[in-house]
Amino acid sequence: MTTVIPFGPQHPVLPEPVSLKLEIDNDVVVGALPSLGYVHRGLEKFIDTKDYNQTTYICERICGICSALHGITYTRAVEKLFDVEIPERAQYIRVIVGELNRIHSHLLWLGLFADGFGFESLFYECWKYREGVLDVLERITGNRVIHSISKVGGVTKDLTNEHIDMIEKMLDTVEAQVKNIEKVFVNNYTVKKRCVGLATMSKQLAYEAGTAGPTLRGSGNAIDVRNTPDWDIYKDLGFKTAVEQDGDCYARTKVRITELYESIKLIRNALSKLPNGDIATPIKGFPTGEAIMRTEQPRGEVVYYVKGNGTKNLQRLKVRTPTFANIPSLLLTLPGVKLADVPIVVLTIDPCISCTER
Amino acid sequence: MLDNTIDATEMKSSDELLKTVEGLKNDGYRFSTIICQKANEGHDLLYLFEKDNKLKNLRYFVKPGEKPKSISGIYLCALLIENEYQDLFGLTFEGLAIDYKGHLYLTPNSPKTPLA
Amino acid sequence: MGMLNLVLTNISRKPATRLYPFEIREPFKEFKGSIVFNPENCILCGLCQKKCPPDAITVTKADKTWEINLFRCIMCTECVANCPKDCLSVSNQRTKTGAKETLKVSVPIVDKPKAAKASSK
Repeated sequence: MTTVIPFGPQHPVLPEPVSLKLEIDNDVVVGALPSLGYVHRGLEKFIDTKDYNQTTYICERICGICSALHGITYTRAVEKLFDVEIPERAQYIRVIVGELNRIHSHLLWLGLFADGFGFESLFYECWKYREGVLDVLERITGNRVIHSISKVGGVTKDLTNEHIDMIEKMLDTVEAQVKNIEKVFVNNYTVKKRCVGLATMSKQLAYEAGTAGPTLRGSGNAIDVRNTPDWDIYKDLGFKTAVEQDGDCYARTKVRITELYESIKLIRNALSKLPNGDIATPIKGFPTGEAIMRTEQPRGEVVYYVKGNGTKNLQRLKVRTPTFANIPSLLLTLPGVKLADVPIVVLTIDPCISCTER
Repeated sequence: MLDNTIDATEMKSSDELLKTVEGLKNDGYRFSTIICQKANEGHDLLYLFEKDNKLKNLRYFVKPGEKPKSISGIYLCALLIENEYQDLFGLTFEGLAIDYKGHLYLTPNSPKTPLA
Repeated sequence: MGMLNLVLTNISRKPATRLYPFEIREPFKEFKGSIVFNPENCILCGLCQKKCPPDAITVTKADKTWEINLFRCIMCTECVANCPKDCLSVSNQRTKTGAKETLKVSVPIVDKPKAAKASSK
């Protein structure tokens, strides 16, 4: 005899509302059915009345945590429609703000994950380190979370020498702090007892279930959109993909911590190679045709599709966010898990539901 | 290049689409997404698959009143996006693994098929 | 012993939080707080109204007024970048809670007399 227990939409560990109906048999989950639609805002219909410059501001507000890379992907897609090259300094500034965004998003996730199994003091430590990163972002762009750094044709603000010194000092501090908490996540007896061997996905299953991001890389598939030849600035900066082989929650945590160190290294290289020049090129005319653009957000691969028909409004905008691709994998890994471990399994895919249901 | 278009292979019928998708799965392609838009009284579906950072696209035109076949039997992850298009565009897919019947996002008192 | 070291260090230091509202941090100079309008050189062209994404600015030529809805403004600074006469600027003071929703300013624009044009012909 199975009972049906609702998980969500309101739950203390979930950052955003999602509902899962769990069928349990004597404390072990047998089946799960997700139910979405609590924060659907209809943004793909909203762009009908706004022109292609104003749509940048709408795209950034799809999500609060990964907002810089949404704006960067949209502006790169529209620049592909216009077939225009932006100056090098603008590309480097976009990469720097994008990687700072990734650092703050991973620190946020580490805190939430610790809260998922009740380790509150570690949760507060991670969010305390995150405040240093947010202060630097506020000094560079003007806002803590919605940056508006990217526009069609370049970037909106420049970096002065004072900003560069400030970023480098912050990176040294954050690197020393993350080394301290890495010891806790990787070596602590309690953390290992709750995470090792939980929700294991084999390499084949993760690939076929269509997952993206650290969920895919934790199972041995070395797939990262930053390796694509479309945007070869990452190869110039010496980017290396972070991969682990085991496929359980512990491996996915280690992947995200490695990516934190990798982002710090990428920002240091970008600051030392920052070229001089303009920060934007002027754009004339209206967009026509269709284009597809993919980049790597903190949660995985995001795909943007834009279509213009010669007027100032775009005809169609479609966004496929990484959490949309990771949710079906929950249906395959939840059966067999105990009821007390369900919050950890749901948090390990890094759910960002407002991205999923734009 | 003034006309920016995406290279895509045209599919003439649902069965040809299913056979091509099975061939892509055996080749080792990963499912990315399906893009739907209104075109000439019907709907235009664009399927995206990816392997080694290269994309392969299939295009299929759905005539008004036709019920396209679902690929969730081959790729399970396609069920979420096909349910979303049932809500927003009013399409009906046959053979879905889990069918929300038009209530994935929309509630009984919302506007019907907002993007159609 | 990783977590024990962190806890002991935190006990021996002073708290990391600030006692708001008794201690308030000054806003950074690059912070986008609110839009400031200087009506001296305004020519009522309406470009700021056309570029505003949430339609927060209304320019009425007949009444010669410029109005901004403070609750709708998202601080994107498109109006600041596009004003041809540099009448708009960004200040780092945030709008206080409890402010009124709209702010209306009259523009002291002077109409050019039509008689001067006819006589120069």
